[in-house]
Amino acid sequence: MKEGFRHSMAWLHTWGGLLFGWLLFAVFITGSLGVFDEAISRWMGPPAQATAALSSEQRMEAVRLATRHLEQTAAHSPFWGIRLPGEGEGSLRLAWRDGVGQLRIDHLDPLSGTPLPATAQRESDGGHHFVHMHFQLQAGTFGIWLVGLATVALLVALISGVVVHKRIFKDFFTFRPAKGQRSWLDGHNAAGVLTLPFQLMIAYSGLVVFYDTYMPAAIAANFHDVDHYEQALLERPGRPARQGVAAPLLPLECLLAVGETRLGREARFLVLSAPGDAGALVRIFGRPLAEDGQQELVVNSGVAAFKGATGEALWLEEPGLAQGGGALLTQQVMVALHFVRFGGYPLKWLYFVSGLVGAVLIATGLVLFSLKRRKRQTPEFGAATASIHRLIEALNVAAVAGISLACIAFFWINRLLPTALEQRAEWEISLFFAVWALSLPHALLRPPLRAWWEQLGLAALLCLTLPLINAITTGDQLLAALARGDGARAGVELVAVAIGLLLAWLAWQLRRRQRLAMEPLEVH
Amino acid sequence: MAPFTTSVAALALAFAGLTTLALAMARHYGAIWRRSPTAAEAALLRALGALLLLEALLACTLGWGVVVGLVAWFCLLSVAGLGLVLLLPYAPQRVLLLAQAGAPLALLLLLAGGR
Repeated sequence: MKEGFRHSMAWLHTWGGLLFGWLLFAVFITGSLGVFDEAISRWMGPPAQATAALSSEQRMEAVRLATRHLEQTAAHSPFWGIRLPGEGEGSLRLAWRDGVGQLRIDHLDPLSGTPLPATAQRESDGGHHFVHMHFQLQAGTFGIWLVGLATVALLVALISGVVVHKRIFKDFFTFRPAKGQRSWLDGHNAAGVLTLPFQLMIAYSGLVVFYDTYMPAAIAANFHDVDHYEQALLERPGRPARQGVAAPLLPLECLLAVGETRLGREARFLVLSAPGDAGALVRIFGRPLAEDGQQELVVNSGVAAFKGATGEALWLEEPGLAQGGGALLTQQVMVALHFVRFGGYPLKWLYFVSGLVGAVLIATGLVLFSLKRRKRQTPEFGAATASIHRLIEALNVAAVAGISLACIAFFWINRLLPTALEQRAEWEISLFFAVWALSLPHALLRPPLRAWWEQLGLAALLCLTLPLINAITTGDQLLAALARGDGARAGVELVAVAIGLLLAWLAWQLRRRQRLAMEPLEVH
Repeated sequence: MAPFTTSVAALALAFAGLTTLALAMARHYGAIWRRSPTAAEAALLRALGALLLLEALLACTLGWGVVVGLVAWFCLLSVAGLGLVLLLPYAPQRVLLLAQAGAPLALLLLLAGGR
């Protein structure tokens, strides 16, 4: 009976792990990169400008200039977004939707209001691409559902893995290198067992982030829509509905000043819904402070909301305060655990490493699946067994080496695409997917080991030469960035080089292995 | 205290603690001393290992407070454990040396920073 249970858990672990591992590896690698989304965005964005902090009056003037620009160019957009300069961003960034629903971005000089040329901006999703990729695969709500399904499968794989692993305590610190399948299994076990608390936490908290998407029934049964649910939960007035009646906006800079006073801190971002309508909503988001998250998990920089036409204050989320009672606070703590906005860089590094170990856990699991089947051919799919195993090998290569290649290629694409290109940020993402998609036919055409080392080797090459391509395309050098203390930019390249060295070693090992495997054939 | 100092100290303590716990197991003890530990030795090593892990937790709470510190501690244990597992088969003697040198240095760092 007991062995029967373990046997069925092993089956579940093997097949569930395989099917969802392909997706989960991508989620883990992009999620880990997403930990450093700000640094990556800084690297991908326009060159750093020496920005003096704007005074309160200068911020008001900037918002006035932004409003003037948006009224002229984006009067019919359903929303306006205004990002004030700061945190290394020198420009005033405006976002809106044009007549066909396409997102448009303009950058203004915050002091004069002159539009800055797009070529100076290198428009890019930056690190947000990795964050979005890891929770919705850039595929909207469908992507969120797919990642959710994979995350549940991850929880199942983690727990069934503990059941299957018979010697979890005896082998706690065991790793026996250079012993073939034994070493892969040791590595798989060590990665899983030692980071088990992190993996369980990151999977579960990831699901909790989207509780209202994954478990909509309770809200649908009791509330008209999510908006009404939020009103009831947070005890605040609803968002004003679009009236269809034109009404002039109050001067936004006045609302900014009131909002900053109510928040008790500088604003970072303003969002207007239905500008120009009598039901316009203005939300003012506070800027995080350096000391936020040093001692607490839930970091919240505050939001102040106003009616755009009358200036009536609608609600205030005070910075650092949790609202909505125990259940929502619990959810916020779990979300905070997932997003790691607390504890500064040491915690970000710990999450980055633990996340990559999660990726290693999945990759070693995928490799083990194929290794076991290479050794003893079990005819589990009848006559088609060999070709299905071949397909699984190729999918493993594309899911592990292919996505790694696509991730580093994304950095190269960012530097190589012309800055004047329309919809540049979208192009970057499309090309990222193109690289990933191409890795599959390559893996199908090449013998498995060769496909592995060629893709990993190319990824290694792109990683190692990232500082070079940056120096060639922007004239900025790694050493110069280090010398002026630009840790974000230098850090991105240093980490890329370190990962490149690791991948190069791996590719070299695999290449040697392939040569050894082929020798007997060449002799005859 | 600066989180950077405490995270270095806590990492060293977590590494030393996990090394000590590993040495309480016959396989890893044997890799260094070529024999099995006596029951008393194993118990002593386990107690010392647990103490070092608690000191790592203390270091984390000094740096970040209890709430963030506890999260940091769990992550540090994972990362220190992985470092240990990767080093142990290649250079067990050096792992021992690293743990023996790291733990007192970390404690000194904490005492110096705590004033």
